[in-house]
Amino acid sequence: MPMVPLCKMAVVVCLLSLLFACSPKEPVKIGFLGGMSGRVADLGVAGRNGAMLAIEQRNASGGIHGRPVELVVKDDGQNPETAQKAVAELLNSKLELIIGPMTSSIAMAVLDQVNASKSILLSPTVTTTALTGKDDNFMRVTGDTASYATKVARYQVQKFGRRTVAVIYDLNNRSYTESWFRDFKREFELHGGSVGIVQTYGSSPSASFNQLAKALLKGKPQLILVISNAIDAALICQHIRKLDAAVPIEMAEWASTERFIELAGGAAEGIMVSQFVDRNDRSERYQTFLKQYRERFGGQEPGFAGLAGYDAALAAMEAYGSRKQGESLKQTLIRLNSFQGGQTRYQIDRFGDANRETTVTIVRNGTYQTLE
Amino acid sequence: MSVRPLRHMLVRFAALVTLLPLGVSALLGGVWLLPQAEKEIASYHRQLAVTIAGQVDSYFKTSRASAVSVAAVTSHHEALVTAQKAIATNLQLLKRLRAMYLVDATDHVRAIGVSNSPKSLQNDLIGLDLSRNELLQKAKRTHVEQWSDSFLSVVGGGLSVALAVPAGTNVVIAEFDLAYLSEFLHQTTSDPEQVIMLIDRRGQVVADQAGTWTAQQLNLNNIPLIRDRSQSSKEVRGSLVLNGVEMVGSLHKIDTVDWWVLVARPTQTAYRQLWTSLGVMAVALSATTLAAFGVAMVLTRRMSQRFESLAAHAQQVTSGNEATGWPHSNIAEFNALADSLQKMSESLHERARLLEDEIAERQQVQEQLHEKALLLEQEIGERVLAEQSLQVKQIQLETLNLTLEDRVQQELAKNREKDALMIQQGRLAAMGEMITNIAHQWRQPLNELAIMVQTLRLEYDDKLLDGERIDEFTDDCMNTIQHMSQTINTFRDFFKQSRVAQQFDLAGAILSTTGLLQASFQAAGIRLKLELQPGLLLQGGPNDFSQVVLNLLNNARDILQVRAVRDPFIRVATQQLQDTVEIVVEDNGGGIADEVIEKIFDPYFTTKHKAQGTGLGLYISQKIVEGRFNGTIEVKSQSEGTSFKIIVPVPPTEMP
Repeated sequence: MPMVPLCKMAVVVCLLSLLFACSPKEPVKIGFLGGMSGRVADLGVAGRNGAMLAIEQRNASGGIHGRPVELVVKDDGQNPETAQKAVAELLNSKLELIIGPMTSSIAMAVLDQVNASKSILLSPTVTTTALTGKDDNFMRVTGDTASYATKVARYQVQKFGRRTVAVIYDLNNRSYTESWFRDFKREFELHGGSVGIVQTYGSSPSASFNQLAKALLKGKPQLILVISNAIDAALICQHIRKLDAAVPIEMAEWASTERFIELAGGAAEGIMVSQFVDRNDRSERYQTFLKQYRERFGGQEPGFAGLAGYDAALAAMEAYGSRKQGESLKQTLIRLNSFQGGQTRYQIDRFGDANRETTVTIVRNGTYQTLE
Repeated sequence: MSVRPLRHMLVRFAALVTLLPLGVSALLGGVWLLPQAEKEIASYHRQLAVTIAGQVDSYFKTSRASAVSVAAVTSHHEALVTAQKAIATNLQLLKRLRAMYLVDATDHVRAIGVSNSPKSLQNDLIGLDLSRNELLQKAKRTHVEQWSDSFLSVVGGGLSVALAVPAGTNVVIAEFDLAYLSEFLHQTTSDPEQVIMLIDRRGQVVADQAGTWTAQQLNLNNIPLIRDRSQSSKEVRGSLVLNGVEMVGSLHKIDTVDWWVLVARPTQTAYRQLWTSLGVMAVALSATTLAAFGVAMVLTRRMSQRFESLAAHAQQVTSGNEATGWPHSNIAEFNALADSLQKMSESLHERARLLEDEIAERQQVQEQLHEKALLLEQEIGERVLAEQSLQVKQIQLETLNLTLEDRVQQELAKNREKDALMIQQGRLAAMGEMITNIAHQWRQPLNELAIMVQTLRLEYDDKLLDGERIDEFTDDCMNTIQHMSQTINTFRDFFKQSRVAQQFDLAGAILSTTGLLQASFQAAGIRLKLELQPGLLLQGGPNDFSQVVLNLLNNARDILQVRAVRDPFIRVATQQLQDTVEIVVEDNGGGIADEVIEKIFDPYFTTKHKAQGTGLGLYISQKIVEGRFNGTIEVKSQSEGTSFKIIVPVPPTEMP
C-alpha cells in the first residue's frame, strides 16, 4: 500500500468534498410580487406559475451562466401595506429585479420604495398610464391602457356603432381601472359616443352586485363596460344577465381569465373582452407553451397572466444573461430592446414600457374567440 | 524493491491498524446502520402519514356526510325551503363548511347557504348560473359524488374544496374551507421542521401545517417524487427538494378525495440523531486514530533514531575512527545488535590493521618495483640508445669494415711508415749515439795525433828527430789515422749494412757493433765480456739487429756511467737452444726500479734527461725483434744489474 499516493488521495478527497460543499454556484435570485391569496388571486397565481415555469425550464438547461435561478416569491395579498412590507423584504435581500406586481394599484403603492432603491420592477400585467413614459425603476412587458382602452373604444364604435355606455369599475385597483376608463372615455367621446351611468364599487367577498347591475341597466345603454377582476366581473355579468339577457357587455383585460368563464357560466356567452393573448394562436411556440404549462400545473390554463409572467421571467433572465460589466439590468433591458415571449415578440422602450398588442375576443361556447 | 525509511513503513502499518477499524465501522455504518436509520425514519413518516391520511380522510368523510345528508333531504323533499333549512343547519354544525348550495337541473342555484355572510348576499347568489362549473357538470354526468380540485372560493375567498352530490335531478354542492385542514395539520405535530401537506390531484398544495404554501397555491408537480405519485397506488417514499431544502418523506394517498398526504422532514433533521451519534463516534475514532498515530509516530521515531544512531556509529567505524562503545538502550534486541556490531567492528579494525600493514608492505614492494621499473626503463632507454648507437656504430662498423681492409692497409702502411720513421728516428738517434761514439773513438786518436804532431815539433826543436823517429812517428800517426779511418769504415759499414733479410752471422754482427763502441767503453772504463757461440746464423736484417744490440749496449753504458758503478762491466752472450737463439746483454748497473721496468719498452719513455734520450730505443728494439725477427725481448732486473734477453727462432739451417 503506497503511502504517498494514499496521502495524495486523501488530499484530493478533502478538496473534492470542499469543492462540493462550496460547489452550488451562487444562484441568481429574482423576486416575484403578486397577489396569490384571497379571492382575486388568479392573476397572481398564474403570473407566478408562468414565471416559475420559465425559470424551471431555464434551470433545466443550465441556468444563467451555470448559476441556478431562484424565484423569491412574496404575496401582496392585494393589499398595499402587505405589498410594501413584502417589497421591503425583497429589497433587503438585495434582489436586483422583481417580477411584478400584477395589478396597477400595488405597483403605485410600492413605486416609491423601488425607485429609491437600485432594484427594478418588471411587471407582467400592470397597464396604468400613470407609469408610462417615466424614466424610473418601473418596467413592464406590456403596454398601457391608453393603447388598449382606445382600441376597444374605437372598435365598439366603429364595428358595432355603439354610442352609449354604462360603466362599472373596481375602486380597489383604481390606478388601472380609472386609467382604463379615462382612455376609453376619451376615445369613445372622440368618435361620437357618450358615457352614461358610471358605477364604482370596492371589491370584497361581501360585495353585492345585484343592486349595481340594476343601476347600470337603468339608462338602457347600448353597451355595458365592466372594468374589474374576473370574479367580480363574472358575478356582475350573471346579475346583468338575470335582468337583461341581451345587452352587450364589454370587459377590460383584467377579467379575461378562465376563471371568468367558469364563474360566469352561461352569462359569459357573447361577452367581449380584450386580451393580451391571442387565444386562437396555433403557432407551435404558443401551443408548446400551453402544453408545458398544463403539464406542470396539473391541467390548469395559463391565461394571459401566466403568459405574461412567463414573458417577464424570460426577459428578466435574458437581461441577467446578457448583462455587460458594470451595466444595470435596466440598461440591459433597454439595450436588448426586443424580446421573444411565449407568443409574440415585443419591444421595451427606453422608459421601460412595452408595445404588446391586444386582441378583441368574444366568449363563444365557453371559450374565447379572437375577433380582432 | 524500493527503499523507504522505517518510519514510513511503520506509519503505514499503524495507519492500516488504526484506519481499519475506522473503515470497518464506517462500512458497517453505511451498510447496516444507515439503512436501519432510514427505515426507521421512513416508517415514522409512514406512520405519521397514515395517521394523518386517516384523519384527513375522516375529515372529508364527515364533510361529505353533511352534503350527503342534505342531498338525501332534497331528493326526498321537493320543497326548497326544506333544502334551505337543511343547508342552514349543516352550516351551523360544520364550521369548515363555507357554503352549500343546491343546483337544479338548469344549472342554476336554487338554495344557498354561506357561512358568515349576510342574508342579502346569499340571496344575491340565488339564480347563479353554474353551467360552466366543471364540478357540477362532472357530477351531473356521472351521477356520482365528485370532489373538486382546490379553488379559490368566490363566496369565501379562501382556498376551498367542493363536493358535488347528485340528488335526483339536483346537485348539492358543498364548499369546504381548507384553512381548517391546515389548522388541523398544524395541530398534529409540534415539530416546526416537520412538513405535512396535502397535495391535490393537480399537484397543488391545498393544506400544509404552516399554512404558507397553501396560501400561495404552490404547485409541486415539478418535484419528481410528487409527480410520480400517480404511478403508485397508495404509498410513495423517498427524498425530495422542497424550497431548496433536502427532505426525506412519505406520500400517502387519501382515498376519499384522491389527494395525497406528504409527510417530510429535512434530511438533515431526520438524520440528525444518527449524524450526531455517528459524529460522536467518528470524533472518538478519529481521536483514537490520531492518538494511535501519534504514538506510532513517536515510537517509530524512537526506533528510527536508534537505528540511525547505530548507523551513525557504523559510519564512524567505516570512516576509520576507532569507535569504542556502541550505543545501548533498554531494548534487548538493540543491545544484542549493538554487541554484535561492536564485535564486528573490532574484528574489522583488526583486519583493517593487518590489511594496512600488508598494504604498507606491498606499497613498499611496489615502490621498489617502481624504482626498479624506472631503472629498468632507464636502462632500457639506455640500452635502446646503446642499441641505437650500436646500430649506428654497426653501420659505422660495417662502413669501417668495408674500408677496414683499405684502412688496415693504410694503417699498416702508416705503421710501417711510423715504424720506418721510428726506426729512422732510432737510427738517427743511434747515429747520434754513433757520432758520440765516433767522437769518443776519435778523441783519443785525435789527442794522440795532436801530441805526436806537437812532439814532432818539440823533437825537431830538441834535435832528437831522426829518420828512425820520423818512421816511428809516421807509423804511429798512420796507425792512428788508419784506426780513425777504420772507425769511419766501420761506422760506414755499419750503416751500409743491408737491411735486406738474409742469413747473417750473429757473432759477426755483434762484434761489429761492439767494435763501434769499444772506444767509448774504454773511455768509460767498462769491461766488455763477450761469450759468443760461433756459427750462429740469423735470418733478418743485420742492420736492424745491430741497431738493437747497439741500443742495449748504449743503455747499459749510460746507466753504468750515470750510476758511477765501481768496476762496471757488460756481458754479451749468445747461445743456441734447440730451435731458438738466445742473446743476453747484461750489466751490473744496479737494476731497474720496479715502477719503471714495465714501461721501458713504451715509446717515448726514458729515464734519461730529455736532451739525452728519446725514449724510443727499447721500443724500436722490441719492434724490430718482434716484427723483423719474430722473437721476444725480455728484461730481468736484479739488485746487481739488469739483463736483457733476446730470443729469436732459428731459421732452418742451411748447410752451406
